[in-house]
Amino acid sequence: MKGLIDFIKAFNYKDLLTGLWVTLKEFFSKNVTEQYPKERPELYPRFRGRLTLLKDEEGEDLCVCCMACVKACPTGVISITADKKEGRKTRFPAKYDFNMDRCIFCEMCVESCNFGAIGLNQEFELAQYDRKDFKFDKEKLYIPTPKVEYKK
Amino acid sequence: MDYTMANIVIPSVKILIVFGVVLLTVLFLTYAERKVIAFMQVRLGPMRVGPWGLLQPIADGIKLFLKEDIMPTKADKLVFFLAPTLSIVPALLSFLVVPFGSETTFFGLLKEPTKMVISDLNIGILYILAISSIGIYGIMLGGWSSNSKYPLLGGLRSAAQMVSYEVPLGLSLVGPVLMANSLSMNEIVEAQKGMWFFIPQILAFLTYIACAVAETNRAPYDMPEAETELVAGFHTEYSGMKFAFFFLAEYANMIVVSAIAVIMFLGGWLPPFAFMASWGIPPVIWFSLKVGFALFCFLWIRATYPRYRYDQLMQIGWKFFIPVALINIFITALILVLKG
Repeated sequence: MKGLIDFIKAFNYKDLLTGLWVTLKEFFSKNVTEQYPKERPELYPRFRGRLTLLKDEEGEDLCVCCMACVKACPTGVISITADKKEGRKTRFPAKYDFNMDRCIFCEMCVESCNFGAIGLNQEFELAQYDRKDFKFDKEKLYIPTPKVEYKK
Repeated sequence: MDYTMANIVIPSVKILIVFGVVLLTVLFLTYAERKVIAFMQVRLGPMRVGPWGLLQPIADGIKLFLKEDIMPTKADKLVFFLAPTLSIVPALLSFLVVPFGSETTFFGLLKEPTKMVISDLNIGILYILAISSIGIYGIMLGGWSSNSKYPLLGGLRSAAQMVSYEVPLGLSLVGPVLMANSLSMNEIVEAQKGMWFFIPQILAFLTYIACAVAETNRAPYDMPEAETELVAGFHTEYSGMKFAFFFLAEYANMIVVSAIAVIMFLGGWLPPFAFMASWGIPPVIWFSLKVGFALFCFLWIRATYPRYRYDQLMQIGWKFFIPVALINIFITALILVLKG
């Protein structure tokens, strides 16, 4: 008789019922799946996307070419050519080249900037079909990354 | 009602309806399985084919139908070809005696009501046990004729498992048969008017559920398939439509054992309480709801429990389920005799 009781206990019926309860609870709980191309993920404001150049209200570059970002960048992907023009006290970037190839999205450049002239945007679909598309010049840095749709 | 009508037309129509409904249910049971398990794992499951992935089983069917049919060179050609048929035909034949409801006039098409069962055999439950045993041959022969080690192991395991679990399965059905004093499915259901048999026969009911899961090769007793150790067990070498037949047979068997559980223990097409009979819900709906719930339990169990070890499986079968089923028969018989 004791053997029989031990044998029935060996079934761990309490554990079996607990297992069923857990799966039933999860059955009615909300799914965590995100239908990615249809549903976009909700990004936090601190998300570190692609580098962008910012402008002030008059459409002038905020950048004064202090080269802090160039020095701060651990992978050296930013290069700036400074220039002067009339009606502007500070220098302005004639060329601002950004090479996303080697960018590690560390946000060091943005933190080093004293003028709030650059920022990382919310873009995360940064894959490209060609390596040359990773090279951003000044004009391309203002706008969102252009998407190339390839057809079969 | 003349002879042709009663003996040819009505049975043929019934067969067509049952065949169509069963195959559709089997198709969408695969969908339901993926969906239920996905929800239990906090996923979404198939979503891309059709709204909510509803056309997924049809897409799967088309894919399997168009696939190349590969036959291993060293396989026993005839047996290899025969095995899937041997496993699906008994599964579908079992529906011959399953009563889906009490009586119907096919929405007033017939003058006299006819029974909602293709053939009301007076040995219905015996017939199902006999037929479903044949299904094992399909799996065994499929595993044997593939001439490959994993299918062979799967086939051997399934033979041992099914022979062991056939015994407590049959024994657990003796209790309700004793109480109903009949082997006919219709009469067993009618006998449950007062109380469903799963209350007095709770031991038999639990034994039946456990053995039914083992009998249909479902998790946690899916020894013959055991993806993690035997690749896919007996159907490793099968592809295309032959594989689909094995797959359909497994799901059809699930529906058969659920239907038997509902008929023998859960009052068949009867409503849960006597006063609900006046609500005007057709018996067939009650029956479908109960079978649907039983099928959900199958999927629920699969999503919850890991696989048993092989020796544990055999130990439980012979040392626990068979004695329990025998004790249940003894108690039931004793009480029935004392009551006179």
